Amino acid sequence: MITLLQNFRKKIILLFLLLFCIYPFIYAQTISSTELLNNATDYDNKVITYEGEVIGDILKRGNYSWINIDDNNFTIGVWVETSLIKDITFTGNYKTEGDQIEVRGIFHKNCSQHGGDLDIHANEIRIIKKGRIRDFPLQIGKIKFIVILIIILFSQIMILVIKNFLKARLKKQ
Amino acid sequence: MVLKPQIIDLKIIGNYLGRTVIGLGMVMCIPLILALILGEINPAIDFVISLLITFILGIGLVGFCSIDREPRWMHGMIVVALSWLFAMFLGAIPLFLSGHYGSYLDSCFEAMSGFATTGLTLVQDLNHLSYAHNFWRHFIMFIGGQGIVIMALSFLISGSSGAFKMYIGEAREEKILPNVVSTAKVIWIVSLVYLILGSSILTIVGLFEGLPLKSAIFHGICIFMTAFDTGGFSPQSQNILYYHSFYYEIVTIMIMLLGAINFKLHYAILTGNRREIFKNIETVTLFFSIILIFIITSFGLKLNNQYPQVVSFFRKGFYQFISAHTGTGFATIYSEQFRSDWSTLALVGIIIAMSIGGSSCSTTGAIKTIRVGLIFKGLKQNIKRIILPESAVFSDKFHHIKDIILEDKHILSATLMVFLYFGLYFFGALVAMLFGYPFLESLFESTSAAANVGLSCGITKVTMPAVLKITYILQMWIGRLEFTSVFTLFGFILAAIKGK
Repeated sequence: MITLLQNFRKKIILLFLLLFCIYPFIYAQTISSTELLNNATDYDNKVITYEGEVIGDILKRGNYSWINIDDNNFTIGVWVETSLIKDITFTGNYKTEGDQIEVRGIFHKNCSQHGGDLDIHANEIRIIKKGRIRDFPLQIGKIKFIVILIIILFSQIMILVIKNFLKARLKKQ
Repeated sequence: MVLKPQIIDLKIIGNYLGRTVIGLGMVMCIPLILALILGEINPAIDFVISLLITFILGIGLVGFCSIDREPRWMHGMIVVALSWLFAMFLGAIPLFLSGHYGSYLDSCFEAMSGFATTGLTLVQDLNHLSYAHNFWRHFIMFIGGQGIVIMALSFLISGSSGAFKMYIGEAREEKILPNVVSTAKVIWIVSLVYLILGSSILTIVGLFEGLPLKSAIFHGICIFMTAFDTGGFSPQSQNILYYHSFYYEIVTIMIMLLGAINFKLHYAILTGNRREIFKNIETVTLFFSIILIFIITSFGLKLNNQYPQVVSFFRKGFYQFISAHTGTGFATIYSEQFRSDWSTLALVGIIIAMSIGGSSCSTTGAIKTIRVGLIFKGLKQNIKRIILPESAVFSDKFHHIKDIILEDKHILSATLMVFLYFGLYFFGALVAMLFGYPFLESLFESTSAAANVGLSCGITKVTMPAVLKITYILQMWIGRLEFTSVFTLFGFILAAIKGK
């Protein structure tokens, strides 16, 4: 009986330890930027997981850096140790698609360290998908349209030149 | 009896309109060159198409409406009103071709927002927009801030007495120099000097805050153009929040304030008359207005204890406030945060600030501080009249570059404009309410559009009704041109229909 009780107590302690360990990762499921912005008070100072494309430039500030992550709705700034982002190769702009990354960190509605910014202080970063250089096939339809427009412009100029020439001739006569 | 406009009227209007359109085509060469330098082929193609369409239209108008007559006031006003509409339709072409806009209406909205220096945006996936297209969004703000017709006046309509009529039509009541073409050139020179200085400072700050050189230069130029012209577009979707930089915010605050000052005052200060800034009715009113309305906004922010720290209070509260008062529309918070975090009182403070704006003959929209100052002076004068004996003779003065005797016509004209602006603000709010938006948010967004500010509390979205998009376009257009030229155009159309 005593052994049974001891076992049960051990299990309870283990359960509590487990709960204690997973508590910070209560929002382990990825949360969208819309959800974060609409319920910022609920997520304030909690550990969250956010996912999206790294866009723009990496703004290095000493040992830390700012990266901006866009999940197709909003872009949120992430404050991260520079050593954690050394594997990021592409950041999104016109010519490139940025790396898709997963960020786990503390969400702040009004970050006291960063002048009230709505941001995430990252503890972990994982690259989900590498970015790439974007393809831009030449738009033949547009080029054909340019040719038509050039023809119209030159015809117009020709008509005006002839019109002015005839006008001047009439005046002379 | 209303007289029907004659063919000759249409020819005069068409001719001057054509010259402005050609001017617009010429400035389209700048993003085209940028696209070629940066190897952005498809954007370059978009600009070639836009440029050709613009030239076809401009040359066609000038060529087929050739006439030697000088324009009258009516012609000047109509040319201005139409120039802005043409600029919107033509300036929207490269934006639409970029593929980053849901419809041509959305790109027209963006173009009008740019030219009118508003800053409300309907762009999609801005973070992947090409440098050339992105530059065009900012550049049209720079052109619009100085005035589309002023641009044409400077280069294409020189020596014409009609120039003055168009200058006035573009909501500029004061000449810096006796000749209006020289005035237009001075406005450009002052702006270009500030552009070089301001962009350099922003580039240095950008480098210091971790931007690579190419980005620092691009962002520096773009942000300067939209800050000085109190526009509010930004190269990235997060607006100024993208930089996460206190210094960038400080510099932009200074540029926004410079943009909100009268060009005539800039010229006075640059030519040595530095005391003018402390005496001028506009700067004095702006100073007091900033203090008083910020107190209201601060109380509003304190109500729900937003931004408890001094730094965050400054970077979020004061920054949005100055951005609103100068009519810029830069933001360091998300538009949704206005609704979720800011109290009603704080939002009312921002709405009042937006509705007043900056100085006349500056790049700001809205009522403008000189009118507010004049109305207060008029109120003071009326109280004096009641208190003093009826036989007492007195006159009041106000200082604007020189001492001017305050007359009833000044007060009347200022009051009329205030009423017209209030009407415009409430008209947009009413339309938004018809679509189910709450009153305060509708008024916020409408004031932002009509006062050419650009701050949004979340109504301006790609998904908003087309009627509301058109309403905001009209508000931006009418608000930027300060009614007269647009009303003249409406009168002209009415005369064409009903006249004999």
